[in-house]
Amino acid sequence: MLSRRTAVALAVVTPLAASACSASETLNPVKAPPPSTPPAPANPDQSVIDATVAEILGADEGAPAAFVELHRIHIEALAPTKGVQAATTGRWQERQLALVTTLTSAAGHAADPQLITLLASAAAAQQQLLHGRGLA
Amino acid sequence: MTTADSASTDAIQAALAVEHSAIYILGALGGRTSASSAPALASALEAAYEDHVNAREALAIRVVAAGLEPVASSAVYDLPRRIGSAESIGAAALRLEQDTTATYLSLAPKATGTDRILLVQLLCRAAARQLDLGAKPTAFPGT
Repeated sequence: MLSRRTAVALAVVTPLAASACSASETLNPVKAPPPSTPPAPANPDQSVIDATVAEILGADEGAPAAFVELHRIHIEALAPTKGVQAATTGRWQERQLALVTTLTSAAGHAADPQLITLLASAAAAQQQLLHGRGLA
Repeated sequence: MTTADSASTDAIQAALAVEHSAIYILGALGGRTSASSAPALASALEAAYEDHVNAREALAIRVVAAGLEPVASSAVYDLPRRIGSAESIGAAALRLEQDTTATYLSLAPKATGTDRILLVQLLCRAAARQLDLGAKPTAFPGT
C-alpha cells in the first residue's frame, strides 16, 4: 500500500511526466530494468564442505563397504558443490585415518554451528568404524 | 579475554566437569566388576577410565593455559541404580559414554579454534569407546 506521502508525490509528478512525453515523441521510451533475481547468498563454509567431501570421496577407493556406505551418508548430509573431485593418496586405511583428522579440522574451522555439529559427529562415526576394526 | 574466548573456555570447563563425573562413576563401576568372571567388561572399563583421566588432564591444561582455575570435582556423584550384574554395569557404562558423546557434541560449537578441535577429538574417543561396551556404530554419534 502506498503511503500518503508517496501517493501525494505521484499525483503531482504523473501529469507532468505525461505532458512531457506527449510534447516530444522523439524521447526514448523508458525501459524497465531487466528482471533479475538476487544471487543466492554464498555459504562461507562451502569451501570447507567441498574440501572435506573431496577427502571423503578419496577415502572410498579400496575401503570396505561399511566405510563407503558411511561416506555416502556423510556426503549427502554435507551437500557439497556439484563436481567435487576425490583427493586420493595412500592406502585406504591411511586415507580413512586422515579423513577423521580432516573432519575434525573442518569442524574446527566451520562457522555454522549446525555444520560444526555435523562434521564433528561425522568424524566420530568414522572413528567408530576404524576403532571397530582395530585401526584406531 | 574476548567473549568468544570466554565462551570457549566455559565449554572446556563444562567438559572437564563431565570428565570428573565420568571418572568417579567408572571407578565405581570398575570396582564392582570381576576381572575373572567378566574380563572383557573389566578391560573395557579400565581402558575407558584411563581415557577419561587423560581427557581430564588435557582439558585442565587448556583451562590453566587460559589463566583460569580448572573446575573442581564434586565430592560425590550419583551412581547409576541397579548395577548388581555385569550386564547392568556394562549398560550403565555404555549410557555414560553415550551421554559423554552427546555432551561433547553439544559443547563443540560453543568452543573456538584449538579448544573446539580438542572437544571433537574427545568426542571421537567417547564414540569409539561405545563400541567396546557393546554399541553398534552409527552414522551420527551423539545426535
